[in-house]
Amino acid sequence: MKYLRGVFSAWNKFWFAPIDLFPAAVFRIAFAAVIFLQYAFRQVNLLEYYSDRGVVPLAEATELLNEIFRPAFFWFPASDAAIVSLHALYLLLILLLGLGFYSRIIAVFALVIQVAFLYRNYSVAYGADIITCYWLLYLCFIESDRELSLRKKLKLPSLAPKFSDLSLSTMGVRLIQIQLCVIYGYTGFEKLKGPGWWEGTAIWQVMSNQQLTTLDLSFLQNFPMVIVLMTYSTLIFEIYFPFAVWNPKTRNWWLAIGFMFHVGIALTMGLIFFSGVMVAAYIVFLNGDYLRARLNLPRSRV
Amino acid sequence: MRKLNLSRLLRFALSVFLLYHLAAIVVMPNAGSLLGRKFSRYFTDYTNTLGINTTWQFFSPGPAPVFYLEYDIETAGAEEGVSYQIPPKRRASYYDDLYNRTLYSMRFFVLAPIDTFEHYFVRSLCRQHPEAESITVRTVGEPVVNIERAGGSESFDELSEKIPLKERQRFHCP
Repeated sequence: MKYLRGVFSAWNKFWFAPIDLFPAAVFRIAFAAVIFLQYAFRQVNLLEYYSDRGVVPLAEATELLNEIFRPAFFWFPASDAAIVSLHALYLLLILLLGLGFYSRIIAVFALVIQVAFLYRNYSVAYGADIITCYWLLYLCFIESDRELSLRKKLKLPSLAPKFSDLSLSTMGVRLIQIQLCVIYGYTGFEKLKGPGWWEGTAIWQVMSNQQLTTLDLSFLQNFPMVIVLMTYSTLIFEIYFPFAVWNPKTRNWWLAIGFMFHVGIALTMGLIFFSGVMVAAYIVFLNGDYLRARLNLPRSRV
Repeated sequence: MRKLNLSRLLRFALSVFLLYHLAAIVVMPNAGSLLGRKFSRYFTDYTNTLGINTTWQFFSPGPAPVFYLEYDIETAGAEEGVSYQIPPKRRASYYDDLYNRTLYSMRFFVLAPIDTFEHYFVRSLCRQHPEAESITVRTVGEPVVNIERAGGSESFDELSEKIPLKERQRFHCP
C-alpha cells in the first residue's frame, strides 16, 4: 500500500505539479516562428497542393485514405479563394500563437486547420507537418502565454482554470518531452533494421542523394571514416536520447549534439523546418533560470 | 472541500487520458507489430482525428535512393511522345517547398497500389495535359555506388547508375 502510494505520488508530481513555464513560453515563440515561415512558403503554391488542380481532387480525397476517420477534414473548402483565405487565417493564428495571445485557445483552432490541410492531401505532407500536429496538440494544454506574451503585456486576464495542486501546463510540457523521446527512440530502433546503418555507410547514401541534399557533398567519398563515424553517432544519439535526456549529467550534452545534428540536416538537406520544429522542442528540457540568464530576462512574478 | 474533490476527479480523468494517449503514441507507430494488430483499432480514430497517426522512420530502415518518375505524353497524330520528369532535377540550393512536396507526393503515389497511382496520379497528369491520349510512365532509380568503390573526384552523376525500378506502364487518359 505504501509502495502504491509512492507510485501515485510520483505520478502526480511528474504530470501535475506546477513547473516553471518560462521554457514553454520560449518554445511557443520558437515553434511558432518556425511554422509561420514554413507555412508562409506553402502559401505560395497552396493551390497546387490543395485545390482541384492538384493531384487529389476534393471529391476523391476521402477515398485516398478511406479507412481513416477524419472529422476535421470534411468541412474543407472547395473554392480557391476559400482555401487561400483559410490558410491565411491559419498563418494569422500561428502569428497570434507566437505573440502569446490566449495561446491555448489559438492552439486548438490552429490544430483543427492544420489537420484539415494534412488530410486534404496527405501525399504532400512530411515529417514537419505531422510533428506540428503533435506540438499544437500539446500547446492546447499549456498556458504558454503566462510569460513573454502579448496577453501579459496588455494585462488581459488568464482564462486558465485554477487548481492549486494541479497544472495542466505541466502535463502538456511532459507530453512534449515524452513525444520527443518516442520520436528519437523509434527512428533509432527502426534504423537498426537497415544494413546501411549496420555497416556504417547510411550517411553516404543520404549525402549522395541529390534529391535530398542541397550541397555537393561528393568530396565525402575521400573520407569514408568520417561517414562511418557520422553513421554510428546518429544511431547512438537517437537510440540513447530517451535515456540521456532525463539524466541531468548527460542532458545538456545530448541536446547540444542534437542541435548540431539538426543544424547539419538543415544545412545539407534543406530540411530547415523539420529541424526547426524538432530543436524548438528541446527548449522544454532546459532550466527556466538558465534560459532567463541567457536571454537576460528577470524572473517575473506570476 | 468541493474544490479538492473537483481537483481529484480531474486528476483521475486526466490520468486515464494520459495512459490512453501514451499507449496510442507508443503502439501506433508500430501498428504492424503484434501489439499493434491487437490494439491499434482502439487508437486509430483518436490518432487520425488529431493527425498523429504516423510511423517514425526517418531514413530508416535505410535512406531511399534517388528515384523519380519519367512519363511520355502521347497525342493523336504525333509520332513521338514528349517526355517529362517528376520531380524535375533540383536546381537551387535553397529551400524549395514546391520541389520537396512534389517529391513526397511522387514517392507516396509510386509506392501506393497501382489502382491508387492510376486513379490519382495518372489522372492528374491527364488533367495537366488535356491533349494527351495516353501516358507512359516509368520509375527510375539512381543508386550511388558503394563508398568503398568510390574515392576520387567523381561527381555523384558519375558515381550513380540509372536503373528502372518498375516496368514501363501505359495508361489511357479518360
